[in-house]
Amino acid sequence: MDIELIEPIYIAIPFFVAFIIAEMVYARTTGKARFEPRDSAASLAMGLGNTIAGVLFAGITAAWLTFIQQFALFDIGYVWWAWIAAFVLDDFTYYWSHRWAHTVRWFWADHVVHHSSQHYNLTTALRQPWFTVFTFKFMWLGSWLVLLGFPPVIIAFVGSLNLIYQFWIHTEAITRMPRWFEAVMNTPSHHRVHHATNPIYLDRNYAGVFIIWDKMFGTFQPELDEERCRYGIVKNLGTWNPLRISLHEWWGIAKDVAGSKSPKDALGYIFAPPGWSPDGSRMTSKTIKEIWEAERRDGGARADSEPTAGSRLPAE
Amino acid sequence: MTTLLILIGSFVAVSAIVGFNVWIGGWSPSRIESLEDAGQTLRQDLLTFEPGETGVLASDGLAALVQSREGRSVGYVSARGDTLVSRLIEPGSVSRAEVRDGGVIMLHFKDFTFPTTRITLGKDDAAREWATRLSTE
Repeated sequence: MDIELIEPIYIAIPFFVAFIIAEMVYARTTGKARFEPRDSAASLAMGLGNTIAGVLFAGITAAWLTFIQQFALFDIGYVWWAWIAAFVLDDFTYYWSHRWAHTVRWFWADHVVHHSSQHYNLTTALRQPWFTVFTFKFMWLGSWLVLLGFPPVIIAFVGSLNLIYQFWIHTEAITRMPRWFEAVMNTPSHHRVHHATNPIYLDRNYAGVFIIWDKMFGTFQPELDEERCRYGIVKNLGTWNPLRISLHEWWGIAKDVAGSKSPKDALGYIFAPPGWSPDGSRMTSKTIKEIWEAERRDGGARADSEPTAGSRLPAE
Repeated sequence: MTTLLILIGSFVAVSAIVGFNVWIGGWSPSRIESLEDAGQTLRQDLLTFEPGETGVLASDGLAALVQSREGRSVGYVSARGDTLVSRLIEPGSVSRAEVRDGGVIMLHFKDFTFPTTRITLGKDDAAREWATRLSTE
């Protein structure tokens, strides 16, 4: 039996627009969230481009999943529990995919786009890459579930639900959810940590929907009241140009590979963690954390918990 | 056809949201208040950067240059929108530094994400001196 489902993200788009406008009004009236038009424009242009790329490359993903379906171990079909199981297993897959997106430069080149804003609001949720097809994610992200016997339609559907869930957590407007919810689900607080560049927060909270994966695999970090999140990436961008935002890390990989002295170095530039270099002259997240830990042990001479005067000016 | 309509609708929605953001306001352009602030930002962003005594703040507060304590590099802070962006200027970072009338330096980085930036020092002598220093970094 084959069924056709409408793409849930298309239904969600009007709600995305409404919530973004509501958050802008909230930001204006309370000063508890931040928007800047050029940043918003860049994020939304990235989202629009991502949708177009999705339309262009959807056929490749669908063809791949349909192709591998013939090798499935079981025929699970469209039974009711399959939807729930697929949702949970897809989120588990998302956790690992997301973790590798931060720890393997080839995947980071794609995912860095989403982290490249120094703002954290609902438009940031839509700041998505255009060239995901280069990562060949479509070949392995949902493949094991299809090979297990879940229909590709279910995998695509629950994958969209997962992304829709992640929209609302990109906000500073919500401080904390009820304790039971924070314990199980990914929330604005948990995800703020994920988007922060403070050394203590780097490479933490990879969850999509359920925060339990981070707690299970040792990557959970709660948001600390005394450590205000600073958003962005370690080397923040000096451009709002969507094409440059899309390509910058791919360009960096190409330059590094072209200048590498051996095939081993070239492979390192592609597959080692972001910030890796053969001579160790650059900083990975691990290095940054080690430096920060060492300074903290030595008495914490640096005041890197405090925002600087120019970076956090109050709203008008 | 449905997809095309959705894309057109999305484009209109994006334009409307950005227009609304401009209209409603609520953000303040960032400014660098002092060299101390610039130094603190550089320490925070670049982690291993130790600001030295030498530095210059742009007359419009939109940029600052701070020499590192050991003198081998310069930290650059730029106000962009309502945020600040930092760069470490080391040998090979700058493709050229032009001096223009009014003590303005046009700094061209070899950086895909930060191509060109304007530093208004207001004094031609100071602009020439820093442009030379940055070109030789």
